[in-house]
Amino acid sequence: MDRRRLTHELASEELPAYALGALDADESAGLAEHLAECPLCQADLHRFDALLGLLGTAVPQESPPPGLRERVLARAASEAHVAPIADRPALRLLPRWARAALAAAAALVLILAGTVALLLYNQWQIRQELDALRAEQREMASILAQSAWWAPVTAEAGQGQPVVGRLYLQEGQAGVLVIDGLAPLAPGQVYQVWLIRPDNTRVSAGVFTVDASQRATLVIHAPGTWSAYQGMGITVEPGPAGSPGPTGPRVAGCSLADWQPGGL
Amino acid sequence: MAREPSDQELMAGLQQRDHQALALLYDRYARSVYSLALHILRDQAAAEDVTQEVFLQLWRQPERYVQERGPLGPWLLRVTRNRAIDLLRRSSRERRPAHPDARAADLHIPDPSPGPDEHAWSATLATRVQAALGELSDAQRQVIELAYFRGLTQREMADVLGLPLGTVKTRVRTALRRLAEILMRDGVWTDVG
Repeated sequence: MDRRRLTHELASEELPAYALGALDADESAGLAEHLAECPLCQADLHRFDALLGLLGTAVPQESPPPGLRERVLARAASEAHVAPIADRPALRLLPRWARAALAAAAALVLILAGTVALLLYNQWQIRQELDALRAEQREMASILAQSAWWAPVTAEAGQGQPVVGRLYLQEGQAGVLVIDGLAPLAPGQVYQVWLIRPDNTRVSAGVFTVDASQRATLVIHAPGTWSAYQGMGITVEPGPAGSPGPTGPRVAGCSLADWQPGGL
Repeated sequence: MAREPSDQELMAGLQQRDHQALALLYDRYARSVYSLALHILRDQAAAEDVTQEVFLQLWRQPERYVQERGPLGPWLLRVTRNRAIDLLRRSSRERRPAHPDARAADLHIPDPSPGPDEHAWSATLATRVQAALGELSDAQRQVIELAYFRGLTQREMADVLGLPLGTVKTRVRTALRRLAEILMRDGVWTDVG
């Protein structure tokens, strides 16, 4: 989607509505793009998030039914066999492909770090990229750790390649797509992710490519909230920015009706 | 006399799978969590489900809470609000436009806290937040109500209120920024920033 990049001033104006989840799909996606690269807006967003927590106190107070306490504690006790989180290496929480994807991302950071040393004249630009990549990695790990649902991603019938993947969904609007088995693309092409509304209109959720491993892991921000979509599809589109609407063959997708509770 | 353990100590207890820590956190925050879920969903069973989910999630993934981002109570309420709004939107997806009454202004504003409640961590905060909300105009409070408690987007609010989208956007922006300014002036904001 050829979305106009938001200036910092415009993004800053829309942050309160973004924090409330009150933006339209396109506006929300544009702001998410800006947020990914603007530490000022990220800090501002954290403050609005805190403010919205406070706002939750301003309702009439009611006591929960007495039986609820026992139910919650009994459910927790029944899960007591789970090892303490602190005793588990964090990455063991992730499935094999997610570990591999994160390892690949980490390796990429190292490669970029080496590039900084080699290309001193371009140091500033590369630093920006590194920071963005690290931020993305942190965000990805955070979303994976917080994901409440996942949906299986499968190849479109008739495609030669066996595509398997999962879309992990955090409550709200963030998710991580982990996909394996996508064919490398011709130069100038990209894979584009589409979120499908109940009325079958498509909203672009970003573009990506795959490396020789045919694997990709990417963060997706659903404009609005996940509940506004019934499915996700991936098509091949002209790069680097993709298309305003799907034009190429659909290679994989998932139905969000197949959501499974439980994260990693 | 033993002092009450801090949230930080109780969260450390959760990391060690201490059931007593969960029980104490429940006793401290369940009323606020349940009240917010009930206010949004207006359905006791659904509010109970959200409350249970919020505490079980805290039990399963205590590391999700990052202390540097602010105190535990408001953070739990943010998780609660997001879950409740998600549920509300999902359940009403087919039967929009069951638009809420745009005139409804059921933010709990002018009524001061119903009396000292030693167990309600939120009583002091609520009083200050309610006072801050009271300083907003009716129009500003209305958009906060519709967005925060009903989960309406700005466009939906424009439809419901019969206002131009630009007007709604301005109201949302000024309402939330003004609220932040008031809370900062009153020293509440620094507690959370």
